[in-house]
Amino acid sequence: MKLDRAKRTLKNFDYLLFGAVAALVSIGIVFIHSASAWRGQWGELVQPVDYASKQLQWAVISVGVFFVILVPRYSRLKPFSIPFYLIVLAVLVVTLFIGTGPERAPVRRWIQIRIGGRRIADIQPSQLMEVALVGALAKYLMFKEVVRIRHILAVFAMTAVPMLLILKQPDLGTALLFIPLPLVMLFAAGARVRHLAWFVGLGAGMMPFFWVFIMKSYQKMRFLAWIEPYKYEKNAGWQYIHSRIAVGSGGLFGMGLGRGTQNSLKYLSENRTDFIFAVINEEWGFLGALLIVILYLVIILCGLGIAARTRDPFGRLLLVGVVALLATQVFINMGMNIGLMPITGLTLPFISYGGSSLLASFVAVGIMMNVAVHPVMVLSRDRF
Amino acid sequence: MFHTRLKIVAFVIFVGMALVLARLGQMQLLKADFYREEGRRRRIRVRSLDAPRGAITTRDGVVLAEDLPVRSVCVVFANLDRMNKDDLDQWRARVADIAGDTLGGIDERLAAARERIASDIRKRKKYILSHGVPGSAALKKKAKNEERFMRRKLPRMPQVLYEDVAFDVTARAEAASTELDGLVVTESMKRKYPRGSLAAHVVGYTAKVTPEEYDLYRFDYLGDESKRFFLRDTIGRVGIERRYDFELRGRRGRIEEVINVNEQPQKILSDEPSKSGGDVVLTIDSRLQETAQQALAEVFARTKHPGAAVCIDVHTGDVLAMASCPSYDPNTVSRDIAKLIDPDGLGKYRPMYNRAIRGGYPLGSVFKIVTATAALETGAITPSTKFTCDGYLKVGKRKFYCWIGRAPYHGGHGTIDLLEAIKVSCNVYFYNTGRLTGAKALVEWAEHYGFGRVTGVDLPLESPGNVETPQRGGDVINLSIGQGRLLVTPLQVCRMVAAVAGEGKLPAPHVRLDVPGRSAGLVGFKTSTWQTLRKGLCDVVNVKGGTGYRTVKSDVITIAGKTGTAQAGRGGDHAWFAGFAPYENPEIAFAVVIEHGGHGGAAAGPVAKSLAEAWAKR
Repeated sequence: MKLDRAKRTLKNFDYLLFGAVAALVSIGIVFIHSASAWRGQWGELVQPVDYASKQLQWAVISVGVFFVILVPRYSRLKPFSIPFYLIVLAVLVVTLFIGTGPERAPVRRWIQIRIGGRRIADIQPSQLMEVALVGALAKYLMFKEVVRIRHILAVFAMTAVPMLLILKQPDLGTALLFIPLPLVMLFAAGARVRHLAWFVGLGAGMMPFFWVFIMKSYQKMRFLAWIEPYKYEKNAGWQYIHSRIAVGSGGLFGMGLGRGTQNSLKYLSENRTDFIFAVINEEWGFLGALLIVILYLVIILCGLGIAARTRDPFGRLLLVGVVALLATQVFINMGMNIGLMPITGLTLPFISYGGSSLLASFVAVGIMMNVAVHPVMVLSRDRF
Repeated sequence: MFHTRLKIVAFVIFVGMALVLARLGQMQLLKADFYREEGRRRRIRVRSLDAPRGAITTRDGVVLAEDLPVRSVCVVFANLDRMNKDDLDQWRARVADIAGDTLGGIDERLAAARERIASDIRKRKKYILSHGVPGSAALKKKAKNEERFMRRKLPRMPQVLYEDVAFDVTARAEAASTELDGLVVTESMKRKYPRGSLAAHVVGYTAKVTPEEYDLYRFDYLGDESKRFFLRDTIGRVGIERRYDFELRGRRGRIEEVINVNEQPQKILSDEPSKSGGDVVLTIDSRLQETAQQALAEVFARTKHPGAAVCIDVHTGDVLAMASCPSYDPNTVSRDIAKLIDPDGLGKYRPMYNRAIRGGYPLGSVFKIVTATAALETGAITPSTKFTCDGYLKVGKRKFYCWIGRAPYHGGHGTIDLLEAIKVSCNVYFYNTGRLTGAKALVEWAEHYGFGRVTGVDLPLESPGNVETPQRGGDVINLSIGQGRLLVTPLQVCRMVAAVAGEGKLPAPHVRLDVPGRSAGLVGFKTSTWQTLRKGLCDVVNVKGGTGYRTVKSDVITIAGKTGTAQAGRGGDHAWFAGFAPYENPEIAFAVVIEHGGHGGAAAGPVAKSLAEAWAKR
């Protein structure tokens, strides 16, 4: 039985998906290496911390977690999805009280795990919520044959509550990920386009309210700087200008690995994390960026392909949700690197430095793969 | 339906990615050059390097002004402001220890440095606000932006705490600076005047440019960008420092370098070193100058009478000495300025004022040289014409006195000829002569001698003096003995006697040595006139009874000259002596004035004598 299961896992394992992920992670480690060295006072190369090898350790751990995720049959976890969602919701509330943030920043985003007084890790509950929400929405929508307005309302409510909690932290970037998610999942579950359009219109109408009551002044500043970066060159416009310079300077072939001036002279801040795409563009140029985009498209198409092959509605919705999250995050991060989007502080999945981000991305792709390797027989009346 | 919708989702994602690629194509393929230039502009810094200013020396090689490197202990306020109170206290204690200062002294210095920053900002803001549409929003914004920029920038730059400190202090400070944040030792050039007040009025001094000066001079350096100055620069304020600022000012160097985000240099792209400014050699002779200043200073110490002395080369117009007393020390002038202009203290005597070229004085009897020339040239008199002096001349109801007609003499010169009249400086003789000659000729000859216009000496702020044609009869009589509406500078007087010494050649005085000694033309008198004048001036000093005989006659050198005692209203008469030496073969001419000094021969004569003797002993 066990052997049979392993055989089936290997048979259904999506090597293309895993290959694309491995390629992205490898490229990421190379560029984290490039971005963590910089030229110091006398032009010498300084590498205060070898972030690349740290990222490699995280990659090993993440791959381990990925394979662990493949073991349980996802359909067995179905009953836990709503309770899991509620628990994470509670944790989000708690985070607002005991959470911590980056040094000196007045934010509450992380929960420190301490064992015997030693800080072991920081958990970011908002990232757990991404998975929990996808699970909960998939569970809620899976047997809705006709999606009615009240279902749509319920879905938006399930999304809005954690989103507001995350906005309160504040973490605009992660909160933004939660906007397309319910739309895509409702769309995939068969909601009427007309209804969805209504809600999208309503959401757009609420933007002024959002601007006045929810957005913090520094977030507004970032938005204004996005529109007129040169006006705020020395403060809020800095990253916009220098990331665009980095990207534009890359040209077709790039300046060469480790030779990007914006990167090595530290004009580009957050170059290991949020702005690593700009580093790739500066050093590998348009062709490098094209490669990255293709690899993401491979992952997304693989995900959607698995969804298409799956007959289990829960699995399908799970996949659509995970793909939507992933695609949104990639688009937002790339967008802010190239000036299409305001800066919100989101990492580039699989590439950006950071254990938490890498782990979350692997969990997402683990869920995809789990659905792929555990086909569930469902008797359905017709093709969806 | 699910598969259709899945395809639509895939399509939307494709569109999103296509958008990203399109944007990348626009940035990287179409506008790459633009972004590369933007980046280049931001990582390349051009720094200008200050250049040392040229030196000013006398003709005999004594350095009067030079730029010397000084090391100063500086503070970077940005580092200090990050410290907590304990660290700051410790910092103050350490620096006090290094500089040998008290804690209170440190605080004072810190406050002064902060005040300098604030005043720089105020100055800059004021300048911006005064250049544009007054009160406009754009101007206010510009000023505000500049202020913000300076508030950010200046605290990051080293500010001087202890300027020009001894080597052991800088050595200790440098050793400590690795652990003491915000303590920096800098090296800069400082203008120094090694001989202090020697020729201070000629040399002038440098000072931080004021906004007014900036506006006045900023186009002087058009076309020579490397000499341009900025609002925080120093420029020559007065004297040679001002007049030859362009030559003295060095050429700025320029370094173009790549910097990282912390403004640390990475690579030098181009390096153009600064070039020291040119030296200026003066015509001043240090010993003669010293003699003049000492002699005037002695008079001033004794009597509190300010004075001036000028000595020029008869043939070339080289200014060998130019002194104005009291003087000042250009090394400390900016520090002492309040004291120097205080009207209740030293400022009463106007030490900053170069009397030799700026002072306008009535000339008194020295003008009799002009009267005699005019009379001889117009044929109003001959050298043998005689007039009788009874102590006064009565014209209508008015009595014009000779000096001998007043107390304590109450006498007259009797019947005398021209040479005797010059020797004894008889006013009555010249009253008569002046009346015969006429106002027009007097003024004409005064102008031939160069009065009423600048001599063109290469120093700023020269006064032209004043010569006015007398309107009434009494004015002619007054003018003939150098009173009335006549104001002259000591340099003009000196040039006049130089013309007498040099057979009518009017030299063009100058202070810079390699300015060719152009002649300012000829006075235009006949040789016979010249010989009479020469003889007359010689007798004044060298014949018993001459007004200069007792105080000016020298055993070392034959001096010829004329005394003058000019009525100056309140405060007493100005004392004059102008002459040349040696009589036989004139080399130098000189003029001395002592304000309210009384009798010319007694007060100004000895100063002139010491000048001539210094020349002889040279």
